[in-house]
Amino acid sequence: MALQFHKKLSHEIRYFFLRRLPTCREIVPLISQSMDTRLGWRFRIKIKLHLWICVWCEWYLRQLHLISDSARARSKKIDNGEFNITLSPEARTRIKQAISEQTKKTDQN
Amino acid sequence: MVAATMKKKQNLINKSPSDPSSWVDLHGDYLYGYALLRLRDQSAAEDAVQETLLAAIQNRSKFEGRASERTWLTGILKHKIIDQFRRAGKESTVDDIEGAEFEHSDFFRDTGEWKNHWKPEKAPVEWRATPAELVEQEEFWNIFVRCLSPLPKRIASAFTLREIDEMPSEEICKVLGISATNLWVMLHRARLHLRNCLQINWFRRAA
Repeated sequence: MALQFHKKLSHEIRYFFLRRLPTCREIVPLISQSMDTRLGWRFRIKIKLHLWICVWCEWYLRQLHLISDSARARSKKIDNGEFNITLSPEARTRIKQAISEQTKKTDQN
Repeated sequence: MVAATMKKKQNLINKSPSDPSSWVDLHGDYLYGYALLRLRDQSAAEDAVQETLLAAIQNRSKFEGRASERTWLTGILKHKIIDQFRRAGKESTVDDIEGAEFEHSDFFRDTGEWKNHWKPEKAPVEWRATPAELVEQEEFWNIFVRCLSPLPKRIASAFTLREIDEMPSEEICKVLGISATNLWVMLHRARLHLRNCLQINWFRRAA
């Protein structure tokens, strides 16, 4: 009984805030911006309060970080040559041809 | 004999670049992988590799052997790619942020008690994944590239510089010739669009 009352109360408090706090439409661009610059304290509090009541935006924030972390990890691996990405045989031949022509030209000068 | 040894030593000290005819076999695949990740287009990446190697031949004398040959070539390629991004930036007028359709204002409710909050069908769902898992999933990255492809060039370039090259915002603004506010709008649109596209095409499907 007491538990149910507690649940109901916390539900009411959340929804009270949800109706008054900044909306998702307003918070979503700020979440992105927070990844590129240090936001002022007012904006940081706005986001914190909103995330407290909105699991969707909480997931949104986590997922943007997941995408960013994964993209950076992937690019580090590619830049380390860890994946087997190869030029097509045609491109290989074409570029070699261009190099040999260029070398001849440069050597003539 | 002595002269030959002397020359060999000289070569080691100067570390002059190897014969250009061997570059494609030595570094071609590496440079292509580097370019493809950033340009996301096979023929554009091939062209960038070719341009890089041709430019390197002409600047062979500038190679000082302070870095490895591959690092030197990658440096040239990096400049070529950033130049392409810069040109894409100049094609559009400064104040106009293209890609208004990627604002996706229809993701949020227009009316009712929950006005301006997510529409349930567009809202994020829980993803179960870690960067370590995703890095290895080739199919995920194919979808990633396909999701980015409809974005306007300048927005995609901004996103690549930020998320692939980890370039600070101020530097990206200089490269693309835009204000910080415009950059933030562009990155926001890129992320909003990409996240939604990945949710539909990867995470919902995988669940």
